[in-house]
Amino acid sequence: MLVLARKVGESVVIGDGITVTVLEVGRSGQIRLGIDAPKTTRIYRRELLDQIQAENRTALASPEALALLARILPPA
Amino acid sequence: MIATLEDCPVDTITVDTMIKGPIEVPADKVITLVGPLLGFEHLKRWIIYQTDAGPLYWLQAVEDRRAAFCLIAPFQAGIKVDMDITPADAHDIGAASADQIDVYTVVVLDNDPGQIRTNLAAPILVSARSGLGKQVVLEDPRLPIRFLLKDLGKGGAKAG
Repeated sequence: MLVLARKVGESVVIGDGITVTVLEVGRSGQIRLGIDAPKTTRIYRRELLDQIQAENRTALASPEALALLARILPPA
Repeated sequence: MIATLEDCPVDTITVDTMIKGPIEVPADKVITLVGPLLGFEHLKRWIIYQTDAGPLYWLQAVEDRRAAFCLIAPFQAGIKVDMDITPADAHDIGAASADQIDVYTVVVLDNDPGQIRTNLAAPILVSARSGLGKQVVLEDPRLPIRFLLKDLGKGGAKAG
């Protein structure tokens, strides 16, 4: 991981078109970041991706999956 | 000599599936995930097949029998949601428009039937025409990560 120190108002540029600027450091330690990126670049909070990754892993099917599936199929 | 197109043998591959064991599928049914299944980035080639008619499907990695998932086609199942599929997402999977895209969501088959659920926040988009797919993350508060399938038929999305 590249570690850089920035002050409020300073930025880093990532790759060809992404700029991250430190906008504000709150007293509670919360930091507001401004991100300029091409519209096609998706930006996510890390914890959201972690949640989805965890849910995908939980969803791994086991050999018993067919039997479990029968419980949600509508009655014939 | 091959006289007609019908005489051409269709390329098939054998995929060892978790649910049905080895099955033969046409080679052109293999989906390449250009945007990976989060947590399974190393697996690019998958097939989608059904064991019964209806909105439920199985996603199976071609290269790893253990990587198998139950999917539901949410719109087919009557789940009332709007999903904002962007032109960029359509372009990534070689689809000219949203109506050429098949949408699936990952199902968690919990041992507690009341907890069997699907992730509406991260659907898997597939273009059958191009053979490409991706899992997208939709940051929409109306789309829960845990939509309980026992709520199907009650209308709307209810977070679990």
